Amino acid sequence: MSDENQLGRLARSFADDISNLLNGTVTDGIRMSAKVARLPDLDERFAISYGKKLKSDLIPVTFNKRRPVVFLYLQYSCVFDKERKHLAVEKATMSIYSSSTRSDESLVVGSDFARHPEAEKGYPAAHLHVAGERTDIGDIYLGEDENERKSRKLRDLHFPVGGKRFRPTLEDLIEFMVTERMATPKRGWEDVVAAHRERWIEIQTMTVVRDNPDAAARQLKEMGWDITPPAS
Amino acid sequence: MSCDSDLQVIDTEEELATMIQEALDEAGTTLAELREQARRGRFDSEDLRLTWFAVAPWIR
Repeated sequence: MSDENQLGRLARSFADDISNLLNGTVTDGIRMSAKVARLPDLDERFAISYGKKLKSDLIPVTFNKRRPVVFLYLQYSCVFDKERKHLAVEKATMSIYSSSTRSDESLVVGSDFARHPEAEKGYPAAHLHVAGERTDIGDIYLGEDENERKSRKLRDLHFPVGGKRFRPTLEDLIEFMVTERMATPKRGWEDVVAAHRERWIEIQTMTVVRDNPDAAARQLKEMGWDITPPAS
Repeated sequence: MSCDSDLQVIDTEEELATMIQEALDEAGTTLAELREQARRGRFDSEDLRLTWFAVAPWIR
């Protein structure tokens, strides 16, 4: 199988995974779309969104078979890591809106991730945007830019959450919508969330161990494992 | 339960450029303006924040 085909297969698999998680919990008949570019100057990458365009359409969330009260915006982009062994999410946003307009006022919460936050003023790699009215946001701004002081809103703040490895997941957002009574879940939704979450934790655990092998070895030794380090 | 998701393959530079321009036009912005707002980590509107997430991966 060529690399190109492998990338397409991985992209479709990623999209299927999200579609199945959504349709098993809080949506009906959603098919996420994977976009792959076959262009020589572009790193191997793909994007996952809803709809045919680059920018995702909003996904209606089920609510007692009546009109939805919240909508999901999902957008992921993935690349191979530098060893070309593993896929890595490069950039993602998972946002909830109270209308289908994607307006500033309708943002309930946005959960963003950027693998390279240094390109965006160094805000936390994983952060939340929360919308709402606050009159004192300008007062706690210590920068020099007078325009920014006057116009900064609550939604402009980047609330740090969990860093690269322990950031919020789509499973968390689904759980949030259900427990806050914004969505009517499907029967068995907890099992679907649990199964997807288990896979996420497994993948993240392997990555954390890869990044911190000494700490992982120490912990396993404490638990009675016999650990032998590699020769080199 | 399983779902066969769509796979769209972008084969040409022109096709990609058209898709990027379409996203920018819909948001009423330019690439330069969007880059600037991303650099400062603050977008003038939600729509621009989402547009950045959509086009950023495809910009060299």
